[in-house]
Amino acid sequence: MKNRLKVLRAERDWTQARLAEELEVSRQTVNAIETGKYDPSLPLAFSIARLFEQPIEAIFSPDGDAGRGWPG
Amino acid sequence: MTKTSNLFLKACGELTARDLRNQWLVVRWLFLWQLAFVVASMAFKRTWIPEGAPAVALAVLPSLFGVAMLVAFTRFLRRAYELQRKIQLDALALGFGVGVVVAVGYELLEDAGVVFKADISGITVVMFVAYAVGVLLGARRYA
Repeated sequence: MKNRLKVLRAERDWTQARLAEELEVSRQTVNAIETGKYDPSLPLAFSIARLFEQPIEAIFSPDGDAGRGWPG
Repeated sequence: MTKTSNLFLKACGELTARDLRNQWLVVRWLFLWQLAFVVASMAFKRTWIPEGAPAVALAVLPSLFGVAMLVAFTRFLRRAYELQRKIQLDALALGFGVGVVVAVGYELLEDAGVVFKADISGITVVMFVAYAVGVLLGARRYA
């Protein structure tokens, strides 16, 4: 699963620790999601989408979508 | 909480304050369980305790601490943030798997007369060490 979490976080000039605090998870979780080592659960993905006020599919996409214009 | 135990818990992955508190409760019950086990074992070996109700009570006491540890661990897992929960469950699977493989393998080596007959409690040590290694590896993988 690919995601735009790092980009969205950078747009707000937030640190990983700040984002982790907003999502009520550890900084380790944010880092693992950003680096693609860990795919978040559906509830956490919804929390992320709600926090950045974007639909889930605008933040997360399957690896195969990379060459098809995502995030478009 | 001592500095050493705090460092060990932090090495298990980044923990929120709530997770750290819940995990510390698990460690406390685990310590009490093991302490009670050692004291009870010594008491039985040196016949400090008369047979009957006192002996039964002493035999059951460590298991009560063990149940308390299980409750605390379940609570820790249920309330942990999801990555920490994954690290813990992966480590538990590793601990259980290693325990089963080592137990079965050791039994065959015993039958073959290659190794001495071991106490069954030894397998719990193997499982715990494998679990601890699993937690540290998981924490490192997602660092």
